[in-house]
Amino acid sequence: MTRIMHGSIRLLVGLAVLLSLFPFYWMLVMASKKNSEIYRTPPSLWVGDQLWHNIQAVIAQTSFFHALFNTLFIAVTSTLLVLFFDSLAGFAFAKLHFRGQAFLFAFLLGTMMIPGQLNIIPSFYLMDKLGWVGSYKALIIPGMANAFGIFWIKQYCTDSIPDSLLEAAKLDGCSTFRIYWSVALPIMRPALAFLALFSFMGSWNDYMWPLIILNDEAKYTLMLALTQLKGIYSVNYPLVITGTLLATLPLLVLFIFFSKQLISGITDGAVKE
Amino acid sequence: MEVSDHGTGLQTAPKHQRHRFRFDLEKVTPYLAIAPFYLLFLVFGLFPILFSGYLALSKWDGIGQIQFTGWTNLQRLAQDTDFWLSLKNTVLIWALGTFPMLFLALVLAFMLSLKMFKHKETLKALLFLPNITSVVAITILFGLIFSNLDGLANGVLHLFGLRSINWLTSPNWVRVVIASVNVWQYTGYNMIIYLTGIARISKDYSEAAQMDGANNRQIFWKITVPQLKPIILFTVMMSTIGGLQVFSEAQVLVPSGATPQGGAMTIVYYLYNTAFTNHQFGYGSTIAWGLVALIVLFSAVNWYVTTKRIQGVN
Amino acid sequence: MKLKKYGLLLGLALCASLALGACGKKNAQASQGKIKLSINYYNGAISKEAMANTKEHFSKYQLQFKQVPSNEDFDTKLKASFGSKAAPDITAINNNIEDYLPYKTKFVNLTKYGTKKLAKDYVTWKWDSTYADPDYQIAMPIDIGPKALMFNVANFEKAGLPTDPKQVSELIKTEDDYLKAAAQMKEKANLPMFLSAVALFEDREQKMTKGIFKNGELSLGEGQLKEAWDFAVKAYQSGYTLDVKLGGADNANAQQKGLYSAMNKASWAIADLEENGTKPGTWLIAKAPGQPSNTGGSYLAVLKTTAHPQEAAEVVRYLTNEKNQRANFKELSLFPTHKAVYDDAFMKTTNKLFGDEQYNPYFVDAANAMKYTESDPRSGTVQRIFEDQMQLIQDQNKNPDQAWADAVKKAKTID
Repeated sequence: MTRIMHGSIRLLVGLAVLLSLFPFYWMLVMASKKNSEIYRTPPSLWVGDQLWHNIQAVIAQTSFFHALFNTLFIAVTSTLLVLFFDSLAGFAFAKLHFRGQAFLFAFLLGTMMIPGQLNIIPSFYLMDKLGWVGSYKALIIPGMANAFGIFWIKQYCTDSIPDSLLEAAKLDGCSTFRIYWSVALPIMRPALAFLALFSFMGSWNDYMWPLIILNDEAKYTLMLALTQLKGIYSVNYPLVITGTLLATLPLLVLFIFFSKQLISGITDGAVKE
Repeated sequence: MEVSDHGTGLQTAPKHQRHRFRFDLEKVTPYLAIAPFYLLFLVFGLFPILFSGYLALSKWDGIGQIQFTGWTNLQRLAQDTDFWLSLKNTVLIWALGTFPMLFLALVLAFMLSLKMFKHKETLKALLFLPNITSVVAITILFGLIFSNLDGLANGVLHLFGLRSINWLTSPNWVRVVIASVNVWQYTGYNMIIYLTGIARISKDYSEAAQMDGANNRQIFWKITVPQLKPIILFTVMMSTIGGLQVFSEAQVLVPSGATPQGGAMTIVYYLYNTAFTNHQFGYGSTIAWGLVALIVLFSAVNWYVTTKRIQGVN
Repeated sequence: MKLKKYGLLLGLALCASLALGACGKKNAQASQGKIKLSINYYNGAISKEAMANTKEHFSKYQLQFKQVPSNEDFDTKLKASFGSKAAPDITAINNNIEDYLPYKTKFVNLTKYGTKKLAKDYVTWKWDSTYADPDYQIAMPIDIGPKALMFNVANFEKAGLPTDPKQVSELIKTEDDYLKAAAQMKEKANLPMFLSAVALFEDREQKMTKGIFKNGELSLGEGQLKEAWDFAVKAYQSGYTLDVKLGGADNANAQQKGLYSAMNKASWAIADLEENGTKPGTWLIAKAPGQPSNTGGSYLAVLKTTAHPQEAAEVVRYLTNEKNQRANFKELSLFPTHKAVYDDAFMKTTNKLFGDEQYNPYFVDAANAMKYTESDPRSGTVQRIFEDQMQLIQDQNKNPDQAWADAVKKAKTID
């Protein structure tokens, strides 16, 4: 490879990283100012001195730590369930054969195409009849096997699990579930890692459904708690951004903590045959 | 839709397989494996869908009696210029965001899979980072950056002696801003998806190709892209489904005074306004079903094009 | 290695569920034997002090105040919960009460709990707006948002306009006066008087004394909507508007820097000015030009599904009484609907933002002069159609006649 090629690749990757990170920096800048300071012309590019003050205000005005804990609980539980049910179904669609497979899969894809906004009222009605309003069950159970994850695992499995491996296991007398659990699951690890990330984030950032379902402030998630920062008539932007920053921070920590496993898991999971 | 045709391996020889299953239980296993999704759908998904299907042919303000009105709503939809303008906005925003984003993601994934980078894991993590933020929060921030008067974006333009742009009130620019929120949040995400796929392309392929004197560009087009076909298909499908449902970005950037002519009114925003702001849940559902029809159409076309196109390269 | 990782996650989930279980139990023990009432409200609708007062006063009940995000989300949640066993006993309702009046049966009729005799204590038009029919009251009013003219002192001085609130009130009495002042502002100071065409139009819409619908038929306020429209268009075409969006960062920025000169705003906008970081003395308050008007103001209602209508009605009466409205005003600047609060001390209220100006009389005047106009639930939708077209004039210079025609055509499809 030529040097110019190398150079331009580095430049592009560097630029992409910079653009990825800049809004985070800008969030910090906004979170460290007074409301009256964020409209200055030209805009000030540096971190201000109000960060600590804003953080204290956010924590005082929302039940932050309690909500953090609730969110963590919901996100972890639903992620574990999603991983299990989606990988099982995705594996079945990719590697097993059964009547009606094509139709069932097309159906599954079809369910993703319906916009969720309008389901809110009938879904609430359903939850009310089940007596699940106000309960985390309503946030966790309906989504524990979802089309996105099944589609994803299927697409991944189709090419990455060698059929020879499954054949061999079958000849050894393994049951299908056993093959899934002991042979396929370890190979899917990278895909699972991504799904875990996706589903964790999804439940962390979910807003509308928890809003409709949860009634007790003690059960509020972070995204609901953050709305306590907005009044009916006005918005204090630095406070809202500080709240956002604080809500993103645990994800960031978690991400950094697990990123080694996650990302390297995701991207180095080449199949060893 | 030819959903299972691209599968390989066991699926191409199903007849062989079936004879090998000895126990009845084994025949049922696949159904047990996929059952949770369909059961959950039956319990939690079907009723809301049937309900909104019924609403689509009715008039309802969300509180009182539902009045069945038959085809009236559909006729209204066909003549509703706002619906078609919102569709135009949505498709433009989708196209502005999706194609550059997926291409960039693919290129970045390919570059990061090259041997030249030392701290690959860190780079990957940094590029993925935007995806962990909530869309509402990040859109508020983008709204501040792109505010008409003295946002950062206009500040930068001034620095270069350029005139301010009305980012949020000009139809074209507001679409760009909405698309850019998406590009920012999802480039790294799609890159990781592609990397997942690249990791399982046997290294022998690219090494062999390199030996043959192929350059990176040839490896990218001749090996990486064709090998990633199922994954690319997945990302295109997901981006289409997601892109046609774009809503939060538009709503947070233009919370009031969003009009179909103003560029920021997407279909889901329009259906949300119709149902929740104007209390027309019936017609709102009709819009939703119009959108479903369009997404199905788009996905089918995408599936066809993506499959054909990449096969062509292959 | 792998097992360890999964184990860690599982452990985390387990701990979390145990801890949550513990929380649940504690709450259950405390609540034994008392009548429980839950109250849904949105941030800024009820002050902390009023809640504390109420809890103390009704120590025999267990009151649970639950804060729910405001705006459409609040209404969606409320609508979803009608008829549900998870519905609150008491709910706040925002100023879109006309959406709920047709469904009075979803609410407890408060007149059964002795509210009729309280009528004289409250601002008349707001009180009238709580009645679905002469014998059915669905809610009690918490606050209102009467409007007054806020003007930028420096800009007025530059334009050679008076800067003393009394003189400004004398000079700008009618809508015509308002436009004349805008012309002078443009001519002498080369500054826009108004924020935007849309803001001006919305202000004039609120001053309409006739409804958008008359006897269920679209009437567009019998010409008043067109008057409002023409007024905004004229100001826009004459270059009296800055034309940035109402609400949001640009508006805050413009207020802070005095990029426009006057706005007819509700009492709560004082808090906005503070939040937006305007400096003391840069804006002052005068009497509103033209018809008195109002934006905003919440209510409290008791849902029919409650098991304790009598007790819930008592709580609503208490929460909207003089004492608690005073607390709301002090803590949240919610403008009271209880007339007893409008005493001397209230009239003499000052704010460091306006120096020693006693501005409350302007708001009280507007509150007392307002008259109740019945509003059709479809009014909001129709008004938004016209506001959207005004937005197109403002952003894209759409032909105003075309815009009006388009809006009328679309309004006719609303049924």
